Amino acid sequence: MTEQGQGAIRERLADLFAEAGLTLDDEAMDRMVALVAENRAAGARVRRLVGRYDEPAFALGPRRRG
Amino acid sequence: MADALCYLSIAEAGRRFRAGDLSPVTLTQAFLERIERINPKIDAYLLVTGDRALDAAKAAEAALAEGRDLGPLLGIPVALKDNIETAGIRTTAHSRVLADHLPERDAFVVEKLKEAGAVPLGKLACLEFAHGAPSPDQAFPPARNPWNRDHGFTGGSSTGSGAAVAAGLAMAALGTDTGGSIRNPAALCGTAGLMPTYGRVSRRGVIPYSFSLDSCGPLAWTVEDCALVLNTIAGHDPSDPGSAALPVDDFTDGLGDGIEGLRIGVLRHFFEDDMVADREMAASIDAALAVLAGLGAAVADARARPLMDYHDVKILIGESEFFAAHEHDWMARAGDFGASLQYRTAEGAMIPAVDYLQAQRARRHLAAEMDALFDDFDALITATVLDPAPPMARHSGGPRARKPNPSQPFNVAGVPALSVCTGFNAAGLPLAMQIAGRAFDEATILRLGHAYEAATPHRDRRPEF
Repeated sequence: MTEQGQGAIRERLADLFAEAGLTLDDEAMDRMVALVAENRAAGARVRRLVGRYDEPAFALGPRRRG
Repeated sequence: MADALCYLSIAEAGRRFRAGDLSPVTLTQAFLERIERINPKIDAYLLVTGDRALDAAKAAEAALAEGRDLGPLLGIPVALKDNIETAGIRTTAHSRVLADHLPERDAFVVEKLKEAGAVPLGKLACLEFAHGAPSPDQAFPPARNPWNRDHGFTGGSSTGSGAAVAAGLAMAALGTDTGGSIRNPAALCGTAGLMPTYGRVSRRGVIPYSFSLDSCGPLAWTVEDCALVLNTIAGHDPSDPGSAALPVDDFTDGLGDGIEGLRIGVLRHFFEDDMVADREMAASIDAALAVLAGLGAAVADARARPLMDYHDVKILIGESEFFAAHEHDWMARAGDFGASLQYRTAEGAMIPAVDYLQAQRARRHLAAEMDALFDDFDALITATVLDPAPPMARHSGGPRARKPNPSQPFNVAGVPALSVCTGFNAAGLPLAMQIAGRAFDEATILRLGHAYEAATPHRDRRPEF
């Protein structure tokens, strides 16, 4: 992720925590940014597994009712 | 003598009730006395409902005396993870956010247990909202592992369920499982634990973590006891949109028929390549496979997608849905969440909607591929956890790195999975394997687990207090 991308995440996290009445210290902010970046990478990876117009799964139970 | 009663299996207690040499009231009193003595050492229970338990035991005793036999759970002391709602009894999900939450109605599974005459003893500790970590800033203390009370983590999130069953403080407990939360504490506490097929057991009245991944199921000392509890709590419930309208089998039917000819696929790459299990854990799984082969099963290696594929899908879906379920409370009173969950909840808010949808699309492929594996195998075996019980300190604190675990694939695929104790390491901590099956075929994995338990001595060993 680019520095600019990380900066945008940092800004959104600060806003989100402020809205909830919390503050993030520098260390926690760095770890949160890393986790969010990790989730973005996961989002990129799962795209490899799907076809162009595949439907989502949502709930598997009803799908298997028979 | 009283302690010995607390180590009976459900099946044994039921036989003694019906033979007239044990009563539900005597058994319940033995559990309440033991809880009073042992629970301060492990904090498995958040709340003990002793008077209600004795009333239920008396009702069970009366039913037996009148010949109204409600089935195998009649008079059996059980306990409930505290994210399962109980009418008029505080249900906190181990969170300050719900410290005063008194549900008006029992969860579906609690209604089923009561209809069967079971005796609920109380509410059990868990990770906060089944998702936090045991940080010291929470309203209640974390449950401690009965095999290492000084600093041993129980596994999560059904922490109290694993601890209570292992310590002989309940004959069975209900837990919930979104990415291993029944099976992990079962593994680390040395009990059996079953995550049923997604849709097999209603989640109505279970405080949600992830709508499309959550399951509710039993932990018990033996696989047979898990089957008995599943018989009681399974079934269609129109008020849970994920509940499947399928008939419920008797999961004890054929339990003792042996496993001759069953085809077992070993997902070795989950714990040898994708992630690497502790040496003693891996060795115990190999020894268990040899036992199963000796009982007549055909054992061969199998291959699924890498663990990371399931992990990515589970995290994107689970974190998004967790935030959707808890957004209101987090925005209004985030300070009442434990430190760890303050951060974890925020993660879900930062996942784009399109990433959530792509994960749900990927999930469909992963589930279909898992279903196809069962064309070649009747069951799949892998590790439940990679390591024996770690120190509690490793699981507390702020935002933390996550890693794939071998439980997640079966939540993503929505198939049933059972954790079975495979012995103990040199330090005396439990080891385990995981047996997964076809959707709605809990019977086969229960049969395998039961055969393994019957062929090994691990059920004879209990933690010492």
